[in-house]
Amino acid sequence: MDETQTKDNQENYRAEYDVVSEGYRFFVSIRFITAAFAMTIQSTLLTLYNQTAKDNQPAGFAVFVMAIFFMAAILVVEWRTIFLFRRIIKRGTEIEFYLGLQNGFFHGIAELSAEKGFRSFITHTWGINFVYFGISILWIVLLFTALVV
Amino acid sequence: MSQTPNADKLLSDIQDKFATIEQKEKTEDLFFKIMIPLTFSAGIIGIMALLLL
Repeated sequence: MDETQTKDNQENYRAEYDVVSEGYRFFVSIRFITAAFAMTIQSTLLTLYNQTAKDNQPAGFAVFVMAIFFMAAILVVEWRTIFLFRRIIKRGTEIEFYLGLQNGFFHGIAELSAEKGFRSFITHTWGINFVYFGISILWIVLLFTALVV
Repeated sequence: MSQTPNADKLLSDIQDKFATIEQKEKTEDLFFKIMIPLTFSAGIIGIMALLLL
């Protein structure tokens, strides 16, 4: 590979690194925006459920169905975002390697992500998953309470 | 491609890290593999309850 070609490649990697870094920031914020959106909708539906379920059971079930399918949709969106997010971190690390940035930002992220033991659960993914898990279980418990009681 | 003389070692380190990360990703994916069918199933039960009332 001649020097000009190497220089061109380095330029291309730098340009891609900017795009990947921007993508990383975008996906971090989109995950929290999605979580905030889910919480807002779910709290509204929970209030609606509390107001309707006692006097009008079919309406309560309708609210439940809406909430639980919305939750499933949010989980699908979150899973897809995680796939894209992982791809971006991997690509960022590869580009840093090609650019000779062995202590770069994405290397740091990869190092943190590769930690084992309890620290491996200190991630955005687990934090957000606990929130979604809590909401889903809340609705499922409400359904069974309504069905059994 | 890399300018560093120990590029092979660095590449091997990165690959090791990604192998560990991929193992952890499988655990994270398990959450979604359980939760998505669970919420859908609960939704179907909710629809059935709604129809039976």
